[in-house]
Amino acid sequence: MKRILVVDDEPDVIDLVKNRLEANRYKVISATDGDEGLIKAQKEKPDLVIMDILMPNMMGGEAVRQLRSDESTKHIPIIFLTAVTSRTPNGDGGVNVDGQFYTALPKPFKPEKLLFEIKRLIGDG
Amino acid sequence: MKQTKYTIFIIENNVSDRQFLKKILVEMEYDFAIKDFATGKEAMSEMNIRPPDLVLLNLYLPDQDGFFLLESFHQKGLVDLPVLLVSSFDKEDDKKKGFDRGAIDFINKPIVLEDVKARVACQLRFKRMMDDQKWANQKTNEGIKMLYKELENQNKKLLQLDHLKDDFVGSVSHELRTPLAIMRESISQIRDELFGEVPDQQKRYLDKALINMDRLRNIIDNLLDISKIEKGKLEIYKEKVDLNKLVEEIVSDFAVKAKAKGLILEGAVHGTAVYALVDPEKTIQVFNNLIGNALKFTEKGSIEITVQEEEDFIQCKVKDTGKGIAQKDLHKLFDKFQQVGRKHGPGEKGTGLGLAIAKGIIELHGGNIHVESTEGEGTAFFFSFQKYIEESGSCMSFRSALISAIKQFNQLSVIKVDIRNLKDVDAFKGRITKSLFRKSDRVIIEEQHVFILLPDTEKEMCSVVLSRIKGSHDADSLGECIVSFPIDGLTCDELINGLERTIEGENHEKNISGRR
Repeated sequence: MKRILVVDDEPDVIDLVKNRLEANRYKVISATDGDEGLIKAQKEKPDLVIMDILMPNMMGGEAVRQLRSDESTKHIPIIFLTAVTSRTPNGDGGVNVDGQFYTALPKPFKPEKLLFEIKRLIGDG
Repeated sequence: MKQTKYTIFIIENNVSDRQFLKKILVEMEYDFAIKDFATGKEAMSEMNIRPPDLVLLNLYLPDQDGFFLLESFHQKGLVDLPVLLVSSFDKEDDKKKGFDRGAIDFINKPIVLEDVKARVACQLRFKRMMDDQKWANQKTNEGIKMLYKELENQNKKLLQLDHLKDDFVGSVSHELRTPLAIMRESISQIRDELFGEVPDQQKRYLDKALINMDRLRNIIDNLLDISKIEKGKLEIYKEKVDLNKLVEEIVSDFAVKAKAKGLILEGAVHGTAVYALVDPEKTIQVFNNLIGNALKFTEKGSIEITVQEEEDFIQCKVKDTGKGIAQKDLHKLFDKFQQVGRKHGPGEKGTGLGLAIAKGIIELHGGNIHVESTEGEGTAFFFSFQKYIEESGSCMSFRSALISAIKQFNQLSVIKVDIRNLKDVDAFKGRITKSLFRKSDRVIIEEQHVFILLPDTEKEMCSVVLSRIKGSHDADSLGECIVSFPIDGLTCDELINGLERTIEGENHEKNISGRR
């Protein structure tokens, strides 16, 4: 079973994403800020990280920067799920961290889009 | 009003004349100070300390002549100092020379009492009037300066408020998104029966909630867009876009809505590509807003979209046969929050931002928009975009896209599809555009092939994308191949070679696995 780490400071968001992913046969681990997300990613080595951006302690962008600089986590694909990017008519924007583009889904998100992006990065659960 | 004690200088070397003049002045019923000097030099040194209000000056002094003194007054900036020349004016041009150098009047010698009194009194009256006027002017100027300063302060405050408003709109829009996301996904999960079966009637109302949450999200996005446009922070990424194709896709998106209202929706397709240099997503937004509006305000007839290539630019038009806009409203049509007298049905209310955003986007692209409308007949929006001008051979573009993608991403997959045997190429291209959501994805069409660049995508995952873009009937007929960076090659040439080998060679699987 593929494991996904969801990092978001809103417990309700974690809860809902977890429901949706579990219904699609993914296993979900969660963290409520960038710090905790980083520790869990290093410890659990998930198949994918879904990352919020505006969070206390450590912002999502910084957490991704650190994940990328760590040999054991640098390969883990990342999707940003955030309120700080807005929709584009054709789909969704990207987030740029150190010159690298990451998939970013704006909140509120459409579940089918989130699932499509996940499937595309790591396949079925 | 300020009353100043005036000072009068008498500059006269002749003692008896000086005393006589002094006596006359003292007898006058004015309260002024009188200072008398026998030489020009003495007078000048006093002049430096405190200039007088009136001077009685003898033209011929032993040390300096009066003309020289007159010139000195001028040089010292005492341009308005009234000087009465006292002289017998023996030389014919003495008076003229004196007046030329700024003297204001004269007193003939021998001195006549009434003459002196009248002339001095006249000058003092004049002087007082001037001073009063000057004082009033000064007060007025001070008042104007104060008002100006106040105005400036008010203006500063307004600007600050305006910035605050923009920041407020920006941050509130973000703050609204998270709660909205939680609401939307909660309802969506109930609707999708994640927690058990839901009766159809309840589903219908949950759908209504979802639709309206998406509408709310749209409003938030519009608010954010307009605040970005106003702050000059909306970024556009221009690329080569076929506007004809773009319009075709947009028209097909709106087809259902138009049909439901019984309207004819025509996007002019002449089959030829019309290339513009635009941000595709923002351009779609412009068309969406204008066509969406036209649909709202047209009850019968048609909506026609044309894309016309002109010499220097591309002219687009969205024309409807709706109820039109009153002449008096046309000028404010592109202002924010204006929903000018075009009434429309319930549930169709917009934000009043669509046209302001469209105008902002078009202007960011260096184009312009204008409207023509006749009440009862319809409305037409005309807007222009920049033409795309071919820089070099098109065969370079996939190569250069690949080179920049390798630099930018740690991982990348490239799908190459042979479209020679494809039955409906346009439908295929349409499916590609609809299937790729990410900004970083790139699609390049070159002669017989379509290249799809997918950053951060593993080779195995490309089949997910392929399955979405392949139509049901052309499932097997496409010659496609996939290479991934870095596993199949580290350089652009290695990857391109990989793509060519796999498409030509019979045993491409072997080729690829051999490199792993």
